[in-house]
Amino acid sequence: MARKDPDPPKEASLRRAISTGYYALFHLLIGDAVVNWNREGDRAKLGRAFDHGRMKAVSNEILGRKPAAPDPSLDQLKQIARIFVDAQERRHSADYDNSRAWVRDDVIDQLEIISEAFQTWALIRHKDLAQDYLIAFLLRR
Amino acid sequence: MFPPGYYRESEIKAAVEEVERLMSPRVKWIRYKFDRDWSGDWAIYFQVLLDDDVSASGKVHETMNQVRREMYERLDFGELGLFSYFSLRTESDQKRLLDAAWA
Repeated sequence: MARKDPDPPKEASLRRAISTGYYALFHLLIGDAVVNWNREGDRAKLGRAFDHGRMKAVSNEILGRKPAAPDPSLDQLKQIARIFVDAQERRHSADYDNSRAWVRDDVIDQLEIISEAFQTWALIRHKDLAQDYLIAFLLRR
Repeated sequence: MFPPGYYRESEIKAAVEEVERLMSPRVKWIRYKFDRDWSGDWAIYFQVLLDDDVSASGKVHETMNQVRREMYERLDFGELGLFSYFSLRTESDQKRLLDAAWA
């Protein structure tokens, strides 16, 4: 989508690519969260309980963690949390801020970052800290 | 009301200048501003202007990853109470768009 138009690309295509990239990551995370729910038929309903703001707050909590000893898994989760927060901000801007001009290189950079988040998530998704991250999305503070 | 990190702006400025020097000539300049993000949290928005050759050689993502990594190594944004967001343009983009937000 971000590459399909000749130069200069259409704003609408770039905005749509940003939005799609964020929602791909959003659905990756909530998909892995709801799969823990045994009643398969209820998973879609449960998926609707996830809140963008809460997911940002949880991600920020992860980013603030300072382990006593080096923790590569936490570093990987922090990478995902940072990308999630960044993608969310861009998605909001792409969908609601018409004054912002987008450029193809910036959008492609963003999509590559999201792709890296997918790869990193695959490495840690079954670890306790990753599962705790997902559960925290549903907990109210 | 001042954003968190406002009183440590000299630290932020020094880090930005250091990364600019380190990344030159691929990075032409890095600018920043404080603002609230979509959910009302304070954030620092970095604008990174890249040399056109970075785009022509297909090294935008690699260069931006280095910029982000260098900034994260120098500044603890959580401690500063700021979310950090990066966006980029090439010189050609900026000439074409004449975007006041990037002037």
